[in-house]
Amino acid sequence: MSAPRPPAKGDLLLCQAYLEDKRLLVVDTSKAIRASIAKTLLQLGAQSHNVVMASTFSDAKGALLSGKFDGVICDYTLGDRSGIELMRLFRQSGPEARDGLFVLVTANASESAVAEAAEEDVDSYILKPFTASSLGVYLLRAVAGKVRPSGYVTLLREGRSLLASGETDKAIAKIEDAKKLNSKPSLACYYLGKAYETQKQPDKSEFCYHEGLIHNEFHYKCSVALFDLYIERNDIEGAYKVIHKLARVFPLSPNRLGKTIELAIRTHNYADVIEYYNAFSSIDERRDDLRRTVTAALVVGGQFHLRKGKNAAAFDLFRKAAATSGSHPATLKEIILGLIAHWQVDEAEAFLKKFPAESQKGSDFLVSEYVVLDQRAASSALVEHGRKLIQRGILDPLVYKILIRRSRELDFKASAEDLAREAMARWPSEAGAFKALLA
Amino acid sequence: MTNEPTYSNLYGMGKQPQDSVTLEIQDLQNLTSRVIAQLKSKGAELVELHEDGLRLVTPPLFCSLGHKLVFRLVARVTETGIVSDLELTTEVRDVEGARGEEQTVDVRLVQFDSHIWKEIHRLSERKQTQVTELFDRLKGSAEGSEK
Repeated sequence: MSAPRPPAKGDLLLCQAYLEDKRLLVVDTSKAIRASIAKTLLQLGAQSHNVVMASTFSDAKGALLSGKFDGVICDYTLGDRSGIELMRLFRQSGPEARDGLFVLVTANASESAVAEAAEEDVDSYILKPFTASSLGVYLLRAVAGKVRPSGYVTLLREGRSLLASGETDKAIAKIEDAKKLNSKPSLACYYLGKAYETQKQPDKSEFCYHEGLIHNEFHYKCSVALFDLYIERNDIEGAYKVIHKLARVFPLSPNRLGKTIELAIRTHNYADVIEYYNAFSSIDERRDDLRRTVTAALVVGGQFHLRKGKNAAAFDLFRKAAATSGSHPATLKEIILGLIAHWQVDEAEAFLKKFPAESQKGSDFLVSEYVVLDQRAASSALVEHGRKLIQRGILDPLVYKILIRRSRELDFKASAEDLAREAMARWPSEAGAFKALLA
Repeated sequence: MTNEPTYSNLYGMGKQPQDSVTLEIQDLQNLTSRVIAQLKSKGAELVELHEDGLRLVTPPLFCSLGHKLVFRLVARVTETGIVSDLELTTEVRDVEGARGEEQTVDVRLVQFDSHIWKEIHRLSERKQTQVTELFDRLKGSAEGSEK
């Protein structure tokens, strides 16, 4: 690997000609970074009166709404908003913006962020801190892609444009022409597949995506499109096969990671959960919905390992689930119930200690504690404890089940029957289970 | 895991992008005015690396042209921790920023380990190259050759 090649004079002249009349928006919270980017743009041919600066997402949005821009260079993180959101606004801001320059300049080097940017319509991904030369070289490279595309890219772009304006037949003809110009035209196959999707011809789309994957086994866009197609058809096995293969080679964007984890569970591929947890761990900004999905998958994965007798693997996943959820009481309760169901009482006790102090008066803790006590204490103590829980308003079918069983053991037949009647009235769907405890 | 190729061995890029190098400026002092900068936990903002210096952001009124600044440039790799902790003595060659605002300062290196400095540049460039290759492959723009 080598440092970026310095730009050729010809490239620079083309870039200058391109940027000469372009309006550009530079968005970064740091004034120094904005100044550096602007300075480089001027060196590449932009005119100072055409370079507009914004320090926040809302300022940038305001600028996009109030005037036309041909390009945006911005940070990935803009307060609590993202550069990707800004890119979507930019692309919709006018016809010149649809194929305008959009570059992310960011300190975020996580694979998932790169994947998200690539999946969207970002032209270049430049890392901070940049060297004076690298910023120029990579901006120039992004511009060169706009100014001097290959014949293949030109035809693809025209095809995409026709597709966006609803002229699907013409788009297909154009992309077919592009396909003839490249020895491994996976991207053309992808756009053809997309065109057939708009024509509601999913079988043709599937054929195109598969063809793209013959040219390049791990073509990201074709794989992802095939995945989406299978999801649309509710073919979760097919979808999971595609995405699992892809996830071993490429990072997944946070959105797709969440979907993939859900699929792993729905297709009973529990053993894969740890791979996705590792991918999740490498994400800088972990959204709550993804965190919840990962937590649930870790718990389900742990339960799977317990069923297989792989206790060490199960405990590991449970510990990760507890940490990922931030010791969320409902998660800890779920883990403890799973452990008790497999007679792992010591480990269940260890998880009981993970409940935060402020949650120890809550139902999740008290029920979990009672379930663990059920493995340790004598019936008399448990009956007394259980009655106190009910008096405190901890109304949980598990408490009733333990109480009924233990009352029967102590020969408190009438009391057990009263409790069972009460429980059946509260939870009619579990009536059978309560009745069975009286037998 | 199966024998399917992983990202790193498929493209022969060695380290994966998440094993990235982050650079932090710590313990920033102005030797000329004898002022120690009060910095955020992440240190002073590093804007740009040059062959013979760098650009950083300092607190307001921190330095002037010709002042000598000394600081530590700490390079960390996500997986392995600190890879280098380089003390740099520098001289201010340009200052921007209105009164009361943070200053953007361009410094020239005066005393430093040139071998480590080159290594920091190399790591930074390698990181960008890795990310660019990954980005191109994900976008699908790295295709076969034109016929």
